[in-house]
Amino acid sequence: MPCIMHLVIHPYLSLRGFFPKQSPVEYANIYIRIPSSVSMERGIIMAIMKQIRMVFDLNKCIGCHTCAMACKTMWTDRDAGQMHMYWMNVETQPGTGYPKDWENQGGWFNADRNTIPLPNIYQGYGAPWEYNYKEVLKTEGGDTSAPKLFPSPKPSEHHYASNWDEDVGKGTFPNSYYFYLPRICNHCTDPPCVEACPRQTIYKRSEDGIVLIDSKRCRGYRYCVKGCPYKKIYYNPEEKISQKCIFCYPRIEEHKGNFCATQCVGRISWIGYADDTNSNIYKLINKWKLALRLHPEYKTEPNVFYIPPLSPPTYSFTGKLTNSPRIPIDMLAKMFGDTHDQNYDQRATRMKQIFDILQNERNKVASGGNSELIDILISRSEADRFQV
Amino acid sequence: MPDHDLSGSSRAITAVYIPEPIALDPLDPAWAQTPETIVSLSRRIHETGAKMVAMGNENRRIRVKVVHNGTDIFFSYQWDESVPNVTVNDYSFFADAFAMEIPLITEVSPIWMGAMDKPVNIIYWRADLAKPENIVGGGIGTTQISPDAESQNIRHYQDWDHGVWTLIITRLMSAASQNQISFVRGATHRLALANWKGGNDAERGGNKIISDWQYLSIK
Amino acid sequence: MEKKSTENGLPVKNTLSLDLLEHISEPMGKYPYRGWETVYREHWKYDYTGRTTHSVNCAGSCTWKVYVKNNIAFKEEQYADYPDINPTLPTYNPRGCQKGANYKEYVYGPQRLKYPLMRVGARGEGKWKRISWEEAMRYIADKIVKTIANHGPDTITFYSANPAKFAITYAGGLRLANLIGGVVCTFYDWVSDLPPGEPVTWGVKTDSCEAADWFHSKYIMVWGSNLLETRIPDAHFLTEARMRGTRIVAIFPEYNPTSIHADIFIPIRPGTDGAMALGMANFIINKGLHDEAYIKQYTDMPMLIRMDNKKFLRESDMILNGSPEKFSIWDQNTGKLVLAPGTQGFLGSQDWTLNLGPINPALEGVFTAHTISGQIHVTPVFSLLKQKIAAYDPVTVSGITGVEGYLVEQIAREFASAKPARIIAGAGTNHYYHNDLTNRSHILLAALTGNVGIPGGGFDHYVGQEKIWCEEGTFDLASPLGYAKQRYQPTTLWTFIHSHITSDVDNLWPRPIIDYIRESVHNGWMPLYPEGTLDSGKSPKILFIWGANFLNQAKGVESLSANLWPKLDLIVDIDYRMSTTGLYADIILPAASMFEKWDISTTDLHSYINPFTPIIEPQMESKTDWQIWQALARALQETKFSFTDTLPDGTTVNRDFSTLAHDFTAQGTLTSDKAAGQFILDNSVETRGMTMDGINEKPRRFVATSEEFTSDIKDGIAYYGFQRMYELKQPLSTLTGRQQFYIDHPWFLEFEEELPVYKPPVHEDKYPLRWITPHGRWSIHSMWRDAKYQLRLQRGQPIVYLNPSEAAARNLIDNDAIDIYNDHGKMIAHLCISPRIPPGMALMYHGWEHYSFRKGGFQSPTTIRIKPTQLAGGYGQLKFKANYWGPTGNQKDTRVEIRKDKNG
Repeated sequence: MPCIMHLVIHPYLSLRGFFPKQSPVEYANIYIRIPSSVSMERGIIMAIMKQIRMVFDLNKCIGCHTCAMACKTMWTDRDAGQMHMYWMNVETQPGTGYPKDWENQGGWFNADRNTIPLPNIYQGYGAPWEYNYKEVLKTEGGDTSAPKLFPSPKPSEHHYASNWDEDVGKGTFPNSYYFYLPRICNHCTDPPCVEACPRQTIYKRSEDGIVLIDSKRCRGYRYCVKGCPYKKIYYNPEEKISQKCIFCYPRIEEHKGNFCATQCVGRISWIGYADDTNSNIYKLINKWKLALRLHPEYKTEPNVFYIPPLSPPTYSFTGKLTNSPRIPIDMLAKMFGDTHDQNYDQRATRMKQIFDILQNERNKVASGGNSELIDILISRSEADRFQV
Repeated sequence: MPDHDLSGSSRAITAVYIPEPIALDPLDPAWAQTPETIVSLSRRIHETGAKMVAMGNENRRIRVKVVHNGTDIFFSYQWDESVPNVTVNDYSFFADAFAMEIPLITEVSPIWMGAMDKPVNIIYWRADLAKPENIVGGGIGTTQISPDAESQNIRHYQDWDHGVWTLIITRLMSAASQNQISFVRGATHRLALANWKGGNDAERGGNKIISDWQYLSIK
Repeated sequence: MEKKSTENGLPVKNTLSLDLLEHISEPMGKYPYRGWETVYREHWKYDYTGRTTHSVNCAGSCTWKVYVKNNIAFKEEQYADYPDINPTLPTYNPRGCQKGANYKEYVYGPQRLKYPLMRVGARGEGKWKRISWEEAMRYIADKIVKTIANHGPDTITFYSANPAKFAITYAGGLRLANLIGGVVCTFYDWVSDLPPGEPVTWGVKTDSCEAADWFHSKYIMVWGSNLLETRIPDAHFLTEARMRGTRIVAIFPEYNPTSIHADIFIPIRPGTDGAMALGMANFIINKGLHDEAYIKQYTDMPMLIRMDNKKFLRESDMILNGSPEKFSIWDQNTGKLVLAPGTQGFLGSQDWTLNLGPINPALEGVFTAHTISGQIHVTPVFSLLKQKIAAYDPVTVSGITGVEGYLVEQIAREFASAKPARIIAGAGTNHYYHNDLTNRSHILLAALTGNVGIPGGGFDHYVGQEKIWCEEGTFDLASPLGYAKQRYQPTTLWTFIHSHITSDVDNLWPRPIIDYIRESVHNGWMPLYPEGTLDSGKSPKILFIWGANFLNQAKGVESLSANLWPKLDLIVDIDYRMSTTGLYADIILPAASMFEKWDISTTDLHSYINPFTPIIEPQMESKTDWQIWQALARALQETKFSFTDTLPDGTTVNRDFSTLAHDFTAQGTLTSDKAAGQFILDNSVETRGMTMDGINEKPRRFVATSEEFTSDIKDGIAYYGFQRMYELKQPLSTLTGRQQFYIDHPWFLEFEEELPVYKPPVHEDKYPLRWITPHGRWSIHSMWRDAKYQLRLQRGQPIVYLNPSEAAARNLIDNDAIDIYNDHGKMIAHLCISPRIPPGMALMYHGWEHYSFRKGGFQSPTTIRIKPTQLAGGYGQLKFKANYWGPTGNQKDTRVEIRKDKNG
């Protein structure tokens, strides 16, 4: 097994502002968290031997939420405090997302830590509706008059739902547009949640890079919720601890895929290890450079990647088909990129490049040629998708 | 309510000895015979990540009474809180909390949760928890609820009324396990207090206000 | 370990938690406290697993693994063990959807029916009494016997939907009906999923390819079939085909989930699909892009039509005692008129083939034929078609459809040049009044371009139940006295008549609809029970509903509730969950769930068989449907009732209930559910040699197909239709033996529908917004419409999607409570404003239960509109057969208005 030490140096250290204004001498013993082997100009040496990665092909995502339900029914349907959680969620983009407006809330490395909000459940994550089933259905008999089934709380823009703006989209008919964006914890290479947790309850596993919250040591302080710019850590008010995607590690340990991937009936996902150059995730990310990170400018180095969505061309005012994809490149370039330091133009260029590659390879196969890329994107066998 | 000026005070708290059964009740007659000490919590800690920073001076006053009967020891803490925070049923809600910290093995431990070789014993109360927790700490980020059943012997009374929290904590004086400090008549322990107002800028964890070391004499 | 002690010298009693404290020097890779990780490993532990599927009418038929711990089925996982067809095709694994992922909610949720219930208040009032199974069975048996004695057995009606989703469960009710003389209602035509153009043109109910064959197409027009949302388990074959270069054209009125993954989105005005198809056909013919050799051999295009009466030139026209089922073509090689081989008249002879031999038929021209009554002019169907569809020029088509003329031509050229090319259609085009014409126009496009019968090509329709694997075994089980001895009722007609629907489309036809109904019934083209309904006003008395939510889903529900429901003396609902139908029933019988019984599920979307198995015991007092019907047979047996029943064909059956339970179980051989399943496997060619245990081990691919299919099933080949026609030259079961676009039935001629033509959607509701209620992602009809785990990923209550301009014009804002209304009814829902919906349309995903609305139901604004062509009979392929040919209960021609609800 190759042993790769990921060395992460933080060029944006100064943004983080964790140095106290007070004299460091007086509070010197506060800094015990910083590893003695590393200078105060913090960089981290991580003993991450392998890093699991996942690629989502947005051209195959059908928005069916089977991934979300596969996750929900395995990990987050046990107590009332989990009902609002979707460790795996699918959102319509453009849209407010889940939790509402998460893209505007910020995280530990890309926002003023004092102003990062904590979204509330009903207004932010969406109300997990409860219903008056027993009154209406009376499956055990009874003699009240039949009322109507209604959700509580009453749905409104305040009592939001996690998928409130499903299939709403933007644009003007017939040039309307939208796509589906599945999201899990990115199991970042530099996870801000790890840094945000004062109790050092969050850690990254050396054998697969999965980021976990130690549920026994977590005190539910929710710094991690603020810390994650993707808002992929949830607070369980019943258990009074924070919880997050565990990448189905009990299954990964059995060399089975995570549920959101294996249960993906659209077959849009691949998993594998970053250093496995034979893996399809390696080929999609590193070789074909077809898969991008969601908001790499958040500086967390996500290990979940996306193949950006093609879209049917728009119509001109005179009803002519144009050459422009209806999802504006501008929107996609603002969402996806390779690294945190790419600028907008570079990202937009990459987007067009990827679309060109996709079209060229499609055309090649359509006219009888072979394409390694297309074979991967089709992935005829499940073994092509799960390489763990 | 008398406003004690603590500057230059001895920071001494006396655990009064009353050789009678004492009820877990603020109206128990023992309290009337126990002097009140005002402890000033003025070290403001703010937490960003694991880094804790003192942020200047603030003065939160805790009215402290300690009484024992040779078998059980009772701590009474009262402080002002205009709006109590007792539920944490949503992301933005944090409960009021209180903690007392005593060096566990040595006489002196770092006030910041002790150190690995100088651990501290903490009793942590939070308004939404069923009971206070017995905790041992060996430095920041290391605190751990004692895993043994014996250490879960702490009982408490809590009440918020007319702007005042009353918290009474009691346990056997003798340690139920190695994870607890034993209170022995005649001994003096260092004692530090911490307070969290959940409604005040989400105080929780390291975001809190603490006292300097106090000295608790067991009569 | 060194023992530690306190400075007070107290004895060491416990593990010092300090021993457990460790420096977390680096959480990135060196976290010391990982012992807690057992927590989630424990969650993932289970005692055992079992296999099942879901009997919901989605045509998914997905095999699922259920994990059980402490006797609770706590987790469902797509089994993903379908054998691959061949390595060049994408696998069928995994197969399922988000709803199947949480069926357990119904197994354990508050919707689950637990005990037999008897209504004690008024119907629908919600007052129930818990009764025992014995009481329930005695009560129902007593009612049945009295009803037969007083009104006859054809007043007892049975409604269920789709044997494919649960063959044993479905067969149970039919078996009892067959034995006692009851009436079995159809469903496929009633729910308007039957594409009537297929029986008209092809003589099949449907014969669509399995999803894997989509991968072979070079060009796919996804036309009114929202595959990505309504075919979740199969959608990947489309996106994967697209990856390999298949051009995907999405033709829909609204921009929907399927459109987002298309190469071109074509917004078309609702209900005008036929015009676009004919416009394309016109272009293809004009440009000579059609496949001439193909249409000569495999379609009726060369068949000669008499120019005097527009009828086929039959052998019987030309010689005495000639066959009316032999037709003529003009052979260009000999310059002579010859009989076309392969028509119905040649059935059983060596000329029953599509081999033309040396004949080279003419497609165009006017020829002379000598008939018994003299010389007449004849011309091929193709000539007539060409003339007729010339009307669909680009300008006209654009005016009708809103699709630019250049685009119609571009798509037509691409489609005709990209063999194999396919049209995938569904409810989006089929739920219209003139669905038969649209189907026929679509099939015309596929046939003109030579795409029917080849892999990757054709017209494939997916909605509802379609053709059924193991049909033979299922109906052998369902009909112990024989299929022919079963009273079947086209439900659209039955509901229309017994609900006293007032036809509002009489003006579209030469005569009122009721005249066509009378003629059809009196000619014996369509049955209508009870016999004598039209003459003496007889009405049904007892209705059994199982595995279906008839009331909730019914078109014209307001009239149905007001008029049909009160006629019924007894309504029995058998289900595992309380539905709207259950709430308005008299007796509720709790059925076993899909985790609790043996059953069989199949679909035409794939070619495998997978079972339900009893993974857990039936919960509470529930029983499997097969056991419930048996229990009822036993209760009826105790009555020892007997009577002589005269069937519509004049034969009589002596029905002696004193042996009914024995008859039901075939003398005890079919007592268990599993034995019933094995009976189906044993009696179907598809499953020759298979056992219930064997298909539980692993889903099996079918080994053969019955005569209901148009192709054999072959190893390594994804199933697609019409191979026997194309490869073996075996005629179809149509009158002409070919894909028949010309129908010379007198009504078709009367209505000028002898060839595919375009007729606009019905505009009888004088309201501005078209009411579109498509299948959606979050429910299978009414299933999961009330399931909170699904509802939490929606807005929690019924919503209507509306274009921003329509909302603005009515001063509506997002999430407003709105009234949706027309002359038929009204309902209240909430608004969701989206630019993906065109102006002029209001869209609500269908299936919401009535109790989810403050007022009305999603079908409240609908009525039943019968199209007389679909009552036709006595003509080749146009003869009543249950779920194959009969009037459809279409509903997309409905128009409504929307306003803010005053109680907002």
